[in-house]
Amino acid sequence: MEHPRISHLARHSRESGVFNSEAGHPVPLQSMASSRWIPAFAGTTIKSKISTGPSIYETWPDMDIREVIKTVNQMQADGVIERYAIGGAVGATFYLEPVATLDVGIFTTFQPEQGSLVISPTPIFDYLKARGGSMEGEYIVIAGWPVQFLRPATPLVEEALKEAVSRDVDGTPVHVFTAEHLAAITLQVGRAKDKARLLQFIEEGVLDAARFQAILARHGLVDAWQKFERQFLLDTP
Amino acid sequence: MSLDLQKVLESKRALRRSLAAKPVAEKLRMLDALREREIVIRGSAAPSDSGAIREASAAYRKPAA
Repeated sequence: MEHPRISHLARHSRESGVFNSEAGHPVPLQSMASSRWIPAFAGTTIKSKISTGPSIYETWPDMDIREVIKTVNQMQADGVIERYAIGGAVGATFYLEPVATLDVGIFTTFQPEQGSLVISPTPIFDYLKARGGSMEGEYIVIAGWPVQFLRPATPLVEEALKEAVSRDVDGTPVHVFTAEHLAAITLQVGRAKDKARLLQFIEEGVLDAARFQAILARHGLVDAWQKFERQFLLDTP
Repeated sequence: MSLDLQKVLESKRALRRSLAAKPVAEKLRMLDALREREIVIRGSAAPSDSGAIREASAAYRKPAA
């Protein structure tokens, strides 16, 4: 039964099953069988082209985000990480137009170190450094991209990781949050750019309304949705 | 070229949809290119201690402890 307070969402759900039937489509599940490994750092040279300032954003390496995906897949195959999924702007790119972003957010669960009950990211950093990755603050640079490994900090993100879907990029499998979870996370985080991204999700019609409603209700986001709806959707012609 | 705002908005929406509909691999290559441009732009911008107002990091993006 749909939540009575999600009026705008429910209306679109009744009409089309998605927010915008013109572009709406389900997320296909892809097979993991086509996995292949190419060394992530082969031929990658990290060089500085901009000399001012210490920021990671001022290095200009040979970038290839697909190498990041291959590296993370290999980490998973080697048992360094358990389940993983891409979130943030890169995750959104699987459903929306590409938007400039400076880092890759990988959500994952960490293995406890051998003989310890303490969960630590140290094995991740050691693994990647041994393969040519370089540490930059809380990031590790893989194939020219600053990558941040994040543990799910909220029940919503935990669920997003658990229910992540597998997609295919040129024969390489990759795990990514569903569009509905990415949209719910933008609502929960609530910065200006998150609201803009949520509007994009709605405009592109990639959200399954029933799934999205259920997520909002499960994670106490109905009021936030109503506020967003009043602010951005109800006056839309 | 049109000065009709509705036509402009429709045109922009169509472009965004065509970009969104591209294969993921192609969109990821676009991310590589966009980041390169972003780095150039940031490199020529004012330093971070300029007093400019900046957006806070997302709450869920805590670095690994």
